[in-house]
Amino acid sequence: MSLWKDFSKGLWKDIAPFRIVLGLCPVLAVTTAADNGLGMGLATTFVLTCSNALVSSLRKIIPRKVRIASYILIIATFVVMVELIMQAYFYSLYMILGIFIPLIVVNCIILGRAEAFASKKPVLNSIADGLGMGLGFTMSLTVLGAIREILGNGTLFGFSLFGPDFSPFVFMVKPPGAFVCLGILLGAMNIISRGKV
Amino acid sequence: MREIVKMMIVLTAISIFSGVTLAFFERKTREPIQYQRLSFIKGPAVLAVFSNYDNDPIRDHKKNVTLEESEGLTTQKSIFPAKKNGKCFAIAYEVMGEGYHGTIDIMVGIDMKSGNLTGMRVMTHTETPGLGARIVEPAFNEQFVGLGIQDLALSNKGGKINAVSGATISSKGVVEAVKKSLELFTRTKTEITKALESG
Repeated sequence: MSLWKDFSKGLWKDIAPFRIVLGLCPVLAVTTAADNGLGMGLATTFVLTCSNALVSSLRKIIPRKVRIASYILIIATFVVMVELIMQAYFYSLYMILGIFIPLIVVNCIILGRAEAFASKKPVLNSIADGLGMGLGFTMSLTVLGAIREILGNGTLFGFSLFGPDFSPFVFMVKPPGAFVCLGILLGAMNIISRGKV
Repeated sequence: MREIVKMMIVLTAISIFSGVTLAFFERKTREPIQYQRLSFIKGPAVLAVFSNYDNDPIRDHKKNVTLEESEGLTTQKSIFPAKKNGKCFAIAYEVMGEGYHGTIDIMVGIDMKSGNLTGMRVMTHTETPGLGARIVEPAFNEQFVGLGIQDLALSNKGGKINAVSGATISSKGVVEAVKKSLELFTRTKTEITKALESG
């Protein structure tokens, strides 16, 4: 089923940011804890799915020469929506993610999928694509956040895992730790994929 | 020509859709957002600028009190009272200052009798991390406790506030906003007392 393929490829084969190396900026900054990664991923998924849906439904109307401007207008609208919703109902997450929420607008995944997929495929497929890539992105962020949180803080989703004698590997929750962790995960994913094929 | 007209129409239509949708959303989320800001940001700041009170300043606060800033210019503020034994001895309200990089939101606590500061807390700002952002540190805001209008200037201009090193503009922004807040208090003390006494 083509619809299923469009959805599932974002979950492993073309997962962001490990296979499709896009959207790295927020990945490094917000994955200091598992639930920050989860929150950011879900916000991005919402924007990605909605903008894919709208871009796809307008794909025959938007003139090619102003397509990027139109896509960005649409994406920015949904990002502001997410920002307002977060401020109203998830304020502590909003304080943590801070400036990276408005930066979802320039997350390459969203503009990339709008241009490469939603502008050419029907609405239902575009929604599937958006959901798949978004959820894959969310999984990546949550896993990366979990690893950094466990090693760098001794907790997972805020729950203390080890006793008070655990001395955390604080390097992991700092920016350099993010790069190292991302690199290791990327290498691991490459090895696994090579083994499969 | 046809092409250009079509581009204009599409972009305008999308912009209108965007504007209408966001205006709707903003309106819908305005109240929840105000409540969140109160709990997460204003609340802690109010409690931090007072000491030795026995009421709940947040529960007792009066919304939208109209105060006259200058001839013909009014503003609306939420006033948070600090009470001891039922008598209000200090109030707090929010003022905005101009920093190096945008607005600085400040909560000031003012003693009712003397008109001097009971405390100051910077709530939100967009100053440079490591420089202007240091206005939130205790080393900076502790200087304000007990000061009056005459003390409110940077130390190199004869006042009592030492600026954050490397962040004169941010520090000055805070000092000037706090000074204006004291001037406003002196000017509107009777209105404030009246607003607090009413039901």
